[in-house]
Amino acid sequence: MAFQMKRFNMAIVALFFLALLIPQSLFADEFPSKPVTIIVPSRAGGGHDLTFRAVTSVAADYLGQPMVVKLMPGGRGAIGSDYVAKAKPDGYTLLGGGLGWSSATPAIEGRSKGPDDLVSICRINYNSIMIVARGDAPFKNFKELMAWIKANPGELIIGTGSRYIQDDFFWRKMMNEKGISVKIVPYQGGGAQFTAVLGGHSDVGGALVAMYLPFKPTGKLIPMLWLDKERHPLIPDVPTSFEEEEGVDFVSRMWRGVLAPKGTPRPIVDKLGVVFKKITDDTSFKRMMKRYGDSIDYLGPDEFAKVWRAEYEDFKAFAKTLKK
Amino acid sequence: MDALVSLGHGFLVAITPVNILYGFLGAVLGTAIGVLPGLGPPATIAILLPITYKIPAVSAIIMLAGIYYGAMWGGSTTSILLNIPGEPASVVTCLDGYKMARQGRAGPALGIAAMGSFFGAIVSLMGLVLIAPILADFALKFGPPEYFSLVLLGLMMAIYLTEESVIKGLIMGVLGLILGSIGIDPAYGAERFTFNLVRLSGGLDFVVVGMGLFGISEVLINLEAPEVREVYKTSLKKLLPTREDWRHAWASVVRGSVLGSLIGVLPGGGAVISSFASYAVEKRVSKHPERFGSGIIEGVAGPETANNAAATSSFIPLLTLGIPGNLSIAMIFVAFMIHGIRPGPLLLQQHPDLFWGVIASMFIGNVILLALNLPLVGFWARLLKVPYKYLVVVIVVVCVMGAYSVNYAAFDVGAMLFFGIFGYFIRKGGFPAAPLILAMILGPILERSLQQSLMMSGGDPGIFFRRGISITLLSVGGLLVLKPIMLWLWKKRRGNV
Repeated sequence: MAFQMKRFNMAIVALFFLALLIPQSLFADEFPSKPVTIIVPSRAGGGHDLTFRAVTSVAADYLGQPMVVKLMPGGRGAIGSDYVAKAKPDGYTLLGGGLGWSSATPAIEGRSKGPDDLVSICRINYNSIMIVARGDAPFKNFKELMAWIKANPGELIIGTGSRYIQDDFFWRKMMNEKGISVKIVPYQGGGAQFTAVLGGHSDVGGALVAMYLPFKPTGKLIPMLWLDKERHPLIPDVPTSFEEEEGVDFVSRMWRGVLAPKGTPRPIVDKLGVVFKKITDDTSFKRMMKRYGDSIDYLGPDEFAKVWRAEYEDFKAFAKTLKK
Repeated sequence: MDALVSLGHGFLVAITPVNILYGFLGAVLGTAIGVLPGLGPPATIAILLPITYKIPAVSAIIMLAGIYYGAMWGGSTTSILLNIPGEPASVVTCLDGYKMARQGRAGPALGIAAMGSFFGAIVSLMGLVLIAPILADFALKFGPPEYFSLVLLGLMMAIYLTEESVIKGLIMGVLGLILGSIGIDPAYGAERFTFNLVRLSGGLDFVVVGMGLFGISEVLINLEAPEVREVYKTSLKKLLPTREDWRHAWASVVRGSVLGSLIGVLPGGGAVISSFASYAVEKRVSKHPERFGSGIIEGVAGPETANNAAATSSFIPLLTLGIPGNLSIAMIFVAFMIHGIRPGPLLLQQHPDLFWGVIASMFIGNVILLALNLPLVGFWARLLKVPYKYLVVVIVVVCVMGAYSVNYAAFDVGAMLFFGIFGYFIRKGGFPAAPLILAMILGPILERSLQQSLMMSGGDPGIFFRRGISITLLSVGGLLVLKPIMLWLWKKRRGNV
């Protein structure tokens, strides 16, 4: 009896050491065993918040565990990004990555975290932005706007939501390449900037298609330009930046992706990549994205890593032209 | 009249048992989190948001809105009882509310806060029903130069928040401006006073600073001289404001309603600014301004009315323009979007049931809140009978939990304790804490709007004098500064004659 007991104990000890020997990757089969948190480092009600609320609303069906959004705004995305970069690389803490805090800010200002500190899981969607003018502006389309800028150098007031991204980047490129002179006023986010055009405090500003549409019948805003390669189906009359001769060829893609701390095991990255692919194929998720006016454009871990890296290097090159 | 007919229709939507239940749930929850400092309405709405995915849009919005305005009701409770501002809009309530409680008048203070809240909310709702488009246009007229002038005028309110020395008040104001500039500067992205701590790049949270300066420092002061607690042994029989109290307070309630409704429509800190503004106005028009800060009912009635009126009118930019003016409203905006509805100029046409249903539910919700809060006054007031040596434990625990729940960061708890000790020393020196908080809230808005205005004008400060609203606000400020000098000159000339 005592002998049997001893054997039993030894078996347990042996099993315990065996468990230690199993490579960590095998545990990916058991991932996730608890809820996954997505840190969204921006304000409530912003595009990232909305996207990840839609993601988490269907995520449990494909992940087998709930996925929760945790907002951690501040420092233009740096606080949340740094938090995730320092988190345990076990797949349970992910970052809602974005053009600003994951590419532009680290490349240009050296703050927040870019592709050197985080790994790519996937891109979920992107949206471009349109240039709009206040309803009583003295120009009615982009050609007239450019003529007005040239006739009145340094007079046009352009409101933008944040430095270096989306329409702000477009206008800075225009100033660099076309030699125009305008006044760029940064606001505290897309919503505040949009309010300033509506109130006539900016002559020109940026708008998401879904933000612009309710104001179309009111005449309070004049659509000018769509910053993408193809025209948008909901605003078919608005020309793209590629069509207009006076503009620079420019795509403003505010992407929303999922990033993870560096060192996250490859099997977990792959597993999450597949889960997010299934989420982006979900009909209820697709319906929500359509209502937001966003395009779903999934890119897997490796494809997106390339796109992200290229964009980051672009911003780095742009930063060098700024310092001259 | 059309509006009233539509509102009647809205009541049909809001009065269904399910929607009343959701409204009740939201209001109760809102009161609870309003009472607890730290965990504010934006965080609570964020936590509850996933639950609302599966319920109809009207019910979801009714509940979430209830949490927001319900919290404004609860916010005054800890300010009055324990000198802990539960949320930024209740900081000024500490000044006279807590003094009233120490004089054994916690009941009337809580009572007037509840009744004023109700009155302010109803006035503001009538504005929302009848003149929402006009108020929305008014909000749009505020560009960077207008904000700058408004905030500059607001900073002058620091003078009205001081009890003894104006100089000491100004010193604290400047300190608040410096604390408010911690973090990343709004225009160029440079880091200021962060000492390379990532935690500081988002700035200091003023809830954390407020709880330290008011709550913790109060504990320290009281531990030093426990005998002052005698005052709590006075009768608690008079739980509600007396006829005499009303005689003093009714005008403050009316002024607070109007002020709150107007300032509340401005995106960015409307409710906070309105409560400070109301206190300053009350002190300004009062026949006995020197008694403010000693525990008089007008000092509670005005601000508590104003912050509720402002919370209600902050729905106007959301419902008519699709612009969320503060964090809580932004979370409610998310709830709209999740249900596939974009608030904005077309909301009224496309979803009249939702629009009027939500407004009607806010009338019902405020009646529920009044019925809920008045009986609670007795319960809260009795809390003060607990011996201070036990109460002090509760205060510290509540403050620590509150500070931690703001960002789930131990750093904030440390910061709060630091400001608690700091608060102890400044109070020993007779420096007031309220101007510091005010300047800390207004400083970043002032700086941002100054930079934006000067970028708009190409560096020409004339922009502040060429715009109607801006020049009006600046003139009022100028007159306030010049008045004492003119009075002095006038007296001197009369003396010479």
